[in-house]
Amino acid sequence: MNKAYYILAVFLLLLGIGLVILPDREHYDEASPRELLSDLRNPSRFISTDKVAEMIIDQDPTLLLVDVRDMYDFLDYSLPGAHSIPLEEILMYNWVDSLSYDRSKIVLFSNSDILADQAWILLKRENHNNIHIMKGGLNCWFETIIQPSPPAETSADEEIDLYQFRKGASIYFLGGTAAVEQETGSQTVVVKRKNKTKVVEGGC
Amino acid sequence: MTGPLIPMGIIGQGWDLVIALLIGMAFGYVLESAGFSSSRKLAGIFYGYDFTVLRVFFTAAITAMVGLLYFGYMGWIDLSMIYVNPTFLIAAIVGGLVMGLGFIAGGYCPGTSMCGVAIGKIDAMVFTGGMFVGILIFSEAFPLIQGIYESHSLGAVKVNEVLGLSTGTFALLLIIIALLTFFITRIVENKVKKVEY
Repeated sequence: MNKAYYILAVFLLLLGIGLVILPDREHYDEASPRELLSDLRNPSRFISTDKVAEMIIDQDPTLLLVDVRDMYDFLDYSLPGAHSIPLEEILMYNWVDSLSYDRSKIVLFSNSDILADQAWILLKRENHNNIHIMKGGLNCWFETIIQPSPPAETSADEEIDLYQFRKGASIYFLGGTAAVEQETGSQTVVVKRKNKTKVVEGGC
Repeated sequence: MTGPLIPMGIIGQGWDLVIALLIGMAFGYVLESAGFSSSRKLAGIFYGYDFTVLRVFFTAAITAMVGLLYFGYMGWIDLSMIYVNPTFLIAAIVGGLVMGLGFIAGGYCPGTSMCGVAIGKIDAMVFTGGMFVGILIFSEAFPLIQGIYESHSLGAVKVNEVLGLSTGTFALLLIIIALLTFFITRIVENKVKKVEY
């Protein structure tokens, strides 16, 4: 038999032995677990509803709001200018371009933090940057922005300022009706007529 | 860059037919140059006078296997994204028997019959005609054989997983089996009377 065949056979055998000896190696094209852990523990991955409201009102061009709830919930109610990318579709290639645009601040939100958090982890594994979660989700959005509760009268100035901002934002998002309702309340003006004093009888 | 190129979106999905055409042309060229358009050479494996087919396809299989595993180790390809054909046990056995019978009777397998047609072999043309008749019968009779076709689905299993071996160990075993096969078939070929074709 040809000598070349023997050389090739030995070469193949060596390659085969190499495959047995080589340790299993995991490849992470995605973020490594260590990086993921440090990102997970970094509180800056959350962004408050106030900050989101401020960015929407300022019409910040870098803001990309992503609603990760399903399409029905999205159609029902969502934040102005939000895009709908349901959690199941978040890894689809259609979204790669918009989600990997580095200069945008991507804010994920759902009803609470849960879905958004899952989407955040998936996108982080895919090495997307600038991904944030709207803290508390839409539930918190309603509590803080749409129907803010007034602070106690003894609160610090910052809290009162924040409340003022939230009320302003509420008017912005609801088109002013909320404020009117709050202002009118159920105060009824009671007109009290003074009893007519009797004509003085007699004279001096 | 990490493969596989199409599932990873590096090459658009629209290109797969173009790539298939190019690979098909190269494959056909290699088959023809290796003499695989001769039904006698192909049928030789069943009569024991020519094991070239076995050696060529076994070599191709282990080369591709070793290449893929090393590429996977180097991180050049994501092996978890490679499509693994699902196994339907009964259908595979029945299909294998039918294919084997067709192979031994006609002297071609589907790919090599096309090679034969390309160089104008009449037996290959008849074989290809028969193949299309077979496809027609299969399609028309599909409701009858659907039960067999879909039974015993094992999913996308790999042999090493079924045997409980690591990928590397199984690869080494397969290489040893391949080399032994090459060696033994050579001995058989030398002992069997030479057939001129």
